[in-house]
Amino acid sequence: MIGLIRKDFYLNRKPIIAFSAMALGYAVMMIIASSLLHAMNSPISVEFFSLINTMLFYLCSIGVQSTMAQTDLGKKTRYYFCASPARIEGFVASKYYESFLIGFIVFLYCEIFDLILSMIYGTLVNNSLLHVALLFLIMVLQSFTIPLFIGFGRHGEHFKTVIILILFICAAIYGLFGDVSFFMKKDGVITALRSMMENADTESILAWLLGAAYPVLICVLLLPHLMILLIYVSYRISCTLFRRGATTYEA
Amino acid sequence: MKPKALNNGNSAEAPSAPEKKKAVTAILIFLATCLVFVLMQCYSYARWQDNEVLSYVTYMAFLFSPMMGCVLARLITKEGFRDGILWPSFLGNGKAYFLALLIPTFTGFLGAVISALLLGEGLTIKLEGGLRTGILAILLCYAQLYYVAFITAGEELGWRALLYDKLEILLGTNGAVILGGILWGVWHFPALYYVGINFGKDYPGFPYLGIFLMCVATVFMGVPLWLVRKMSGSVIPACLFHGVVDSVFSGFLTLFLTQEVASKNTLLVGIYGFVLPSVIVGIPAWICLLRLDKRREKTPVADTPGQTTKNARS
Repeated sequence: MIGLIRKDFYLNRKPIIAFSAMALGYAVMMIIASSLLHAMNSPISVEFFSLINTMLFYLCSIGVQSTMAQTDLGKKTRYYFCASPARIEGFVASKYYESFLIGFIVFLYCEIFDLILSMIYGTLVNNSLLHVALLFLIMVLQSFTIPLFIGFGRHGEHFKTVIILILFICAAIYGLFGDVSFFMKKDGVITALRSMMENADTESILAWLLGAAYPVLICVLLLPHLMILLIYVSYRISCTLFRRGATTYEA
Repeated sequence: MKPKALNNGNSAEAPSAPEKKKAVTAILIFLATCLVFVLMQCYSYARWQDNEVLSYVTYMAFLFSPMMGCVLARLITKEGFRDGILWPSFLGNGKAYFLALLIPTFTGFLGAVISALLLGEGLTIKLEGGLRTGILAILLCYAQLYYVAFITAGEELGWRALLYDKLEILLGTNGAVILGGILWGVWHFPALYYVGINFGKDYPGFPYLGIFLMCVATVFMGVPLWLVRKMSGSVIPACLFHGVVDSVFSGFLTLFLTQEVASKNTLLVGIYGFVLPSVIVGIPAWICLLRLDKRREKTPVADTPGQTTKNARS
């Protein structure tokens, strides 16, 4: 298992190095910019820099994760892994672990970046909960894309793009013409998540939850567990798809 | 018990002299790293309380100091990170993960029930809003579990993924449980002395009694943590276990105890709610741990460290 993960990291070293170099360069630029703006008493808050940085790198990491998930999915490799001691389960699990590892590295990077910003501004920037939530969110996203890659090989990328486009168009149509009041109203999901981020202490969240509607309660309280369940279901589906072999992908 | 080598909990071969020497080196590096951060945290509590950035940085460094000690020890002793302990091993280890959630939940509930009964509070829900609020509070604690497990991983990667295993090579299972637990308890000194976690600060014999009680609790709480680690061959169940302890224990206590009673009897709440249930759960877990070791001695040994015998056979 560990060998498989090392292999994928080695084979994808170029995109990983490029991503790391970009992250490092961007971080240095942001730190210089934020320290200059702080010295000039700019009204731009430290939270702004932190959030921009977090969003950017979690989004970029999806690209690296997808590249790694597509490594070695040819027919020959599949037949080889069906017979190898690592077994299909080990090979498929390694894809999920890799995604998690990339996400975890980004999480650590964002935490360190926030600490540096905190030292520059002299006020604490603590978005750990947001970082963990994004890490889980990306894992959920990967739990949809990895079965696609395993099931359809390189064509999985096209399927992914089409699905994202369809979802985006549906969301845009619903956002323009549908009822979104439940989403944005006082006890809606957005308010819930913001409350979770801002008041990380249990008492204030509990006080807020007591006044929340049941759908919001279920969403907030059961979502983390459902995410784990979803990742597990995706893993089982991936194992089945891997066994069937590539239908559209040629080695 | 005669010291035996259970290399990462799976090999039953007798430890060789170089193995023992390597274990001693790893333990010393690990303890030195932890000591540095414990001292830094003490200094931070004493001097940097007003500076929220510095106190936060030192606190996080303190929480992750066992992990840093583990990384340093593995790098310096050239042990590396290829063994399975640091990786999740879900396949065929569902029981360990289930126990990692069940045991601390039961322990927390037991602690809350004992506290409520012995402090004369009765088993009624004390939270405003009754049962609905209580269920919400507990569910909220579980929703926060994964986030808390991220932080507790900093501890578990040191204690259960390095120290206990290395101590076992030198002292055997029982010695590792006792000495490892004591070291884990003493590591909490800054929080016990400056913040008064678990037992408060206003009790006779402060802080020595608190440190002693913490050591008793950590010795016994360390057993089921190590048990799930050994059962699965991975440290992840132990992280989850610790996450449940940190997030759910206080939730159960607030369910049955009023804030007034809890703040007046901090020492007793600590003993009834934390130490006593840890002992009650720790003893059967200890027996299970010894049985597991005996079974491992009889069954075929895994090919690679961290791999379970079940997986090795298949």
